[in-house]
Amino acid sequence: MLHNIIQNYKDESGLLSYKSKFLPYLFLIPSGIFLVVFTYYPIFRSFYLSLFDNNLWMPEPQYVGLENFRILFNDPLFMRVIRNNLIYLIGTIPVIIGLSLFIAILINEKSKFREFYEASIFTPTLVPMAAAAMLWVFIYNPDIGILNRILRALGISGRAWINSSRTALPSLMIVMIWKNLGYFVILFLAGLQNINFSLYESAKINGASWFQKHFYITLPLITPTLVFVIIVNIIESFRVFDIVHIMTQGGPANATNVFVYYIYQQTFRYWDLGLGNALTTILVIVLFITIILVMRSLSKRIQYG
Amino acid sequence: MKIKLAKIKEKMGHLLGHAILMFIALIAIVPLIWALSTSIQPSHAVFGQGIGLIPTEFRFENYLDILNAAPFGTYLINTIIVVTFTVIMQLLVIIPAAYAFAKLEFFGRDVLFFIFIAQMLLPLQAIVVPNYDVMRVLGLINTRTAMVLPFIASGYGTFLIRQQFKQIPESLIESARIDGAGHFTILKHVMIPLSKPIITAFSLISIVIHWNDYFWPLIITETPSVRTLAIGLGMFVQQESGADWTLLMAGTMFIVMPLLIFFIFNQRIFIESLMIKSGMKE
Amino acid sequence: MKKGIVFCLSILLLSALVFLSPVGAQEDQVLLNFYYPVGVAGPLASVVDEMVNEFNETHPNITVQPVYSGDYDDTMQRVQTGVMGGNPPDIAVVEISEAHSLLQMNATIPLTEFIEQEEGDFLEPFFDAFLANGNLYGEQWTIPFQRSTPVFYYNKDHFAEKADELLAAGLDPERAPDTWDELVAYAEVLTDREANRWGLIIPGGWNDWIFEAFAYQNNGQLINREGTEAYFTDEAVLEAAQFWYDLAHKYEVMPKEVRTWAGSPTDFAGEAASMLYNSTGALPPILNTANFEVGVAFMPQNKTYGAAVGGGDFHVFKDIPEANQAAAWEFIKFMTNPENAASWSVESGYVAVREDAYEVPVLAEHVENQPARAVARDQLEYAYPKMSAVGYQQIRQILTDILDEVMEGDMEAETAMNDAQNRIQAILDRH
Repeated sequence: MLHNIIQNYKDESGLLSYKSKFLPYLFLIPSGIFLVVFTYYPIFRSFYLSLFDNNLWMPEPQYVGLENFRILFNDPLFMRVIRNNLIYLIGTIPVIIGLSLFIAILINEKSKFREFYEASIFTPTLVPMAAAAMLWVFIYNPDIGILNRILRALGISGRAWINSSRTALPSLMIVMIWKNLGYFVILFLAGLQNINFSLYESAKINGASWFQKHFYITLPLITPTLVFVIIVNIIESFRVFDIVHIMTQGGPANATNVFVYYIYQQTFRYWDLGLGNALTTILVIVLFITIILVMRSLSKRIQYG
Repeated sequence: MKIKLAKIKEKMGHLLGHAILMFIALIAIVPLIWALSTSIQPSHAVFGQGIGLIPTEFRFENYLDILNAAPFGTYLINTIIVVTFTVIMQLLVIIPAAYAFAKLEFFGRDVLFFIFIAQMLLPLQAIVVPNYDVMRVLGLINTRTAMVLPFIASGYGTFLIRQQFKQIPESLIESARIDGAGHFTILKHVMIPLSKPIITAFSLISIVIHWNDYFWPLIITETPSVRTLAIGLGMFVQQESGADWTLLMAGTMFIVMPLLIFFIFNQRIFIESLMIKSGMKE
Repeated sequence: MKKGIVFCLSILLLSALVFLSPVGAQEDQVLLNFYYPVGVAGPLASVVDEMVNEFNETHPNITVQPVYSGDYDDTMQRVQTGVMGGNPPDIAVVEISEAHSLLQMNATIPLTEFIEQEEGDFLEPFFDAFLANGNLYGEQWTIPFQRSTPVFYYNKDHFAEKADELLAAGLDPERAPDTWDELVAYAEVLTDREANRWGLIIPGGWNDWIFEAFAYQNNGQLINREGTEAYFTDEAVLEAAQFWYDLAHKYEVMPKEVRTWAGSPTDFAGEAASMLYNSTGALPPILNTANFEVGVAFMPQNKTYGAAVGGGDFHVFKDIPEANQAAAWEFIKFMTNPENAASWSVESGYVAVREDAYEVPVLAEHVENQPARAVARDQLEYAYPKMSAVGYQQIRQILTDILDEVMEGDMEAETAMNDAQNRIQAILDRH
């Protein structure tokens, strides 16, 4: 085999020649191997295994058809998990996008302190999630945390933020916004720099307000970045885990139990592999459908150059 | 008169903008300053009154204590090994693939390209169950290798670098061809040098992501000898579990610091390369 | 283009290199992997490591590798992972309620044979209450190591501060409440909204364990010893749940948000509450950080005093060489000998697992200086086995979730217990 390859290589019309039909595939092989072994094979295996009942105390997995899915969709806890994930998604994405675009526009209009703003707003992005979570457990501590200290100084009585099922999920969402905002500010800043400044000048001459100016000029021109940011955030909101594992372990009373945490519980705590694989299947499908829908609906509005 | 009013209005708007930005910048960094200040105080100080941003008593030994309480040194070395290998392997496999997708014609290119970048949409968190199984079959549970493998074929990286490669004019490649250059030479002397900013940007992002990775090491590691910093901190948190906040914050700062220092010294490179990356369009 | 192929090959070669993982060197002696959790606050991992080092130095043929594996849940997870992957630890300290699950998995071996080979009655000095959870189907499967009961902590300074009001309410400021009714009365006086201070905290996380104690105090039980039947809708258990609900919502002497298990000793030491239910293992961190006189007492009784024992026991695993099992037994004997049981108790705040450890000078002196140390031991008289069943992880999760909801007032006690009964019984039936 190797011998053949070398033979062919010597031949100008052979396997490795510039015009070879096979060579492009050769370039794809290294990446392809990893892709197949660690992404696609696992997914299809998971699809298959989701049809079996399988846990640590069973000698052999048993074929049960779609039973695992039936169990899940009748499980009030799973419904709660999905609800939590949706709240998380709907609660974080608009805030992150609105705020980061707003900040980016403000920074873009300034020349003073620009580096300071960029650097400090970007800093939380570099903080490992585990560290950020720990940091915020301390901040949210009802008695000694800085948040309640500040509130007390202002005469407001604080709460036990992550210890109450009413405030726990929003509290986690705030941490994620704090942590991720800077990254998207930078992305938007980059997008903004491609906008020709003269467009704003002429808008100003025509008497457009600050808001009008950005709504009619900035927003349409920044749509490609916007689409990218939305998609990244959707994926982000389905994979949130670290913060839950460190700050609340899904509690109190499942108020912060989200999709991946639920997979983790079912699989690595209760060792119900059938349910774990069924959950994986559902998540993969949900991710694909959501993203394709987003791309479809938004790509109509984008004009690629 | 009207113009003057408008000027004043503009000035006010300008100041308001600065005020808002200052406020947000403060929110972004105050938590870290508070953690830093807590980490160098004696443990009883956290019960003090007031806000406590500026320490009045000092105890720098907290950092020595955490090094004794958990093998943070080992964690640091493991993290460096895992991150370095991940990024190198990623670049090694991604660049040829990106080149093929950007500059070569072959059957099924578009379909394959979609398959390659769709990996972006499938975070490891979603497919952890079957991936754990794959690692078990390969006998790689509790190894540093297992922490590298699933991330090598990065769809995101393939996409970014391919987009950049596409922008390099065909004429440059042609003239290299005429000089007798093969693919390897073209990659090495034309494509890669012209794409340095993107490759840097991707590497930086990758370093940050894998430095911070918590989920996969949590699942795949069992002993401290292979654990990385993020998961090590997670374990340390459980071990200390709220007993001593100053130590916990020292541990937290210990894992935050390396990237932060790296960032402070390379601030412009970081931000500019991120900007170049996203500024690029189809 | 020659370079092209070299390039591709080197990539494959490199990937192959990454695949190769280092394999530990084989030696002529027995190497034991020992997984252990730390279930309470404080730097206990280093204490365990020191004990293991001493063992390794005194036993040249055996090397024990201690692996700190997180909290109890994480440790169980890692043990299960190992068993499932055919790579179990040799020895592990696992939470006592998991015994049924490990048995069902066929993961561990009974220790009866080793015990019988020892001179005299090896188990005699151990507290019976601590042996009970590991005694299943006529065999002893585990040896107790880090064992505890919940105890009742109170802030003596707060009691003194409010002495007049307590006396006015007919309560003795010199002692802790002795009954549930007194608990409410004390807590009502001690709750001080202006000082941002609660009368009482029952933390979450392991509130299933505290709740079990309340059930016992009311002559009830949560799950039978065989792990087949749940009793959450029994009158005794219902009353206990109602009492919790009332503490937070009728008397309002307890936070309505669930405080974390690990954080609650800090809350108590930071004077956010005057009374606290927690493990006896929380004693050292509380004593270290509190700037007031700490009182420790039995948990108040209703019909009787009552507690469920808690903590972790040694298990020896099945699919390992016999030599390792024998070495594991040596290790267990070492870790639980009177001297080590005594010093471990001193360092950790856990109850020493055997009676004769309390005669060892280091512990005897300690108990004399800190009578609080003896409370949990004395409470053992009223202690029962902790609930245990196959699938305990899931049962525990369900119960803590439901108790969280009761404390937050999202669920009436009765609905909550009905829910618990249905869901937990379903899991018991499944196995």
